[in-house]
Amino acid sequence: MKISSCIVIALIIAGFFLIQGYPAVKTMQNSGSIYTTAVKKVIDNKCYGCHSNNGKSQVAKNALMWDNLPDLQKKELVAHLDKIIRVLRKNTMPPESAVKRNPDMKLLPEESKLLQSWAEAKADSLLN
Amino acid sequence: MKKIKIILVVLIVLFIIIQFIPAGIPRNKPEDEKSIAKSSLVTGQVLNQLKKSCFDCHSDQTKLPWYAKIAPSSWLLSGHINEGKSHLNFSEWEDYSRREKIGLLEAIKDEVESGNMPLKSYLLIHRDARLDSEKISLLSKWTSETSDKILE
Repeated sequence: MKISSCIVIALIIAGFFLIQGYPAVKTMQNSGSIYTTAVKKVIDNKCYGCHSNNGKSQVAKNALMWDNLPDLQKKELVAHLDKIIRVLRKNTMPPESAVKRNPDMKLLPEESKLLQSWAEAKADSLLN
Repeated sequence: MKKIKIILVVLIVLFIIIQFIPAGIPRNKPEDEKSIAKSSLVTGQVLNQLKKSCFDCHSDQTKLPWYAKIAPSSWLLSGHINEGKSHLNFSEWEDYSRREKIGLLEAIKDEVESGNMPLKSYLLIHRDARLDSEKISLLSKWTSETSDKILE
């Protein structure tokens, strides 16, 4: 085998080991201030894939970025919480097409309720 | 030639028949204290613009054009008006919670700034409903000041 191909293979192997240290970010980075552990878990599993920098759909990202909520102004946060409640009540998220591709993404009724009560309580606390 | 005549007759008969299918356009109601127009939240220029650009589908004060009485355009109008009111009805403003009001104001801002609202098909006919950049910033500013008032 030529030295050059040896180097290429060595580089590929080294690269493979290097990327192990950089796993894709799959959970919320900026969550401490407003999410409870249970809420965060549901969001991470069912919503975060699209509504974060990992997301491929610009529409989803424009509509909601979970990591940005803690940094919003009060009125914007209230408005976002209201939108989250509206969407959850309509039962349209995660979209059917996404659930079809990945059945684990289906939001269970109790999970939807958990998110709704969290959003309602959070909004109430901001309004009082 | 005979074929064309038959098709024409069938079309005319169909057109007459569909006139008897109710379109379901909601009726206007007199404005009461629940309307945003009766509140101190909106006055003057902004209220005028809301009336021109939004109230036909987002209030109980719809100004129906003549073709609202004729199917199938009446069906299209009915769909728009019913859907519009289900999202936001300025005539029932006081029925919304403070949270919902702030959510709606932010949604109005998004819809107007992105050009989603008023609907393109509506603007084709209602030229005075069009929003230029000056009117868009007038409405945006109003939504954000009104949210602040509600938060106080």
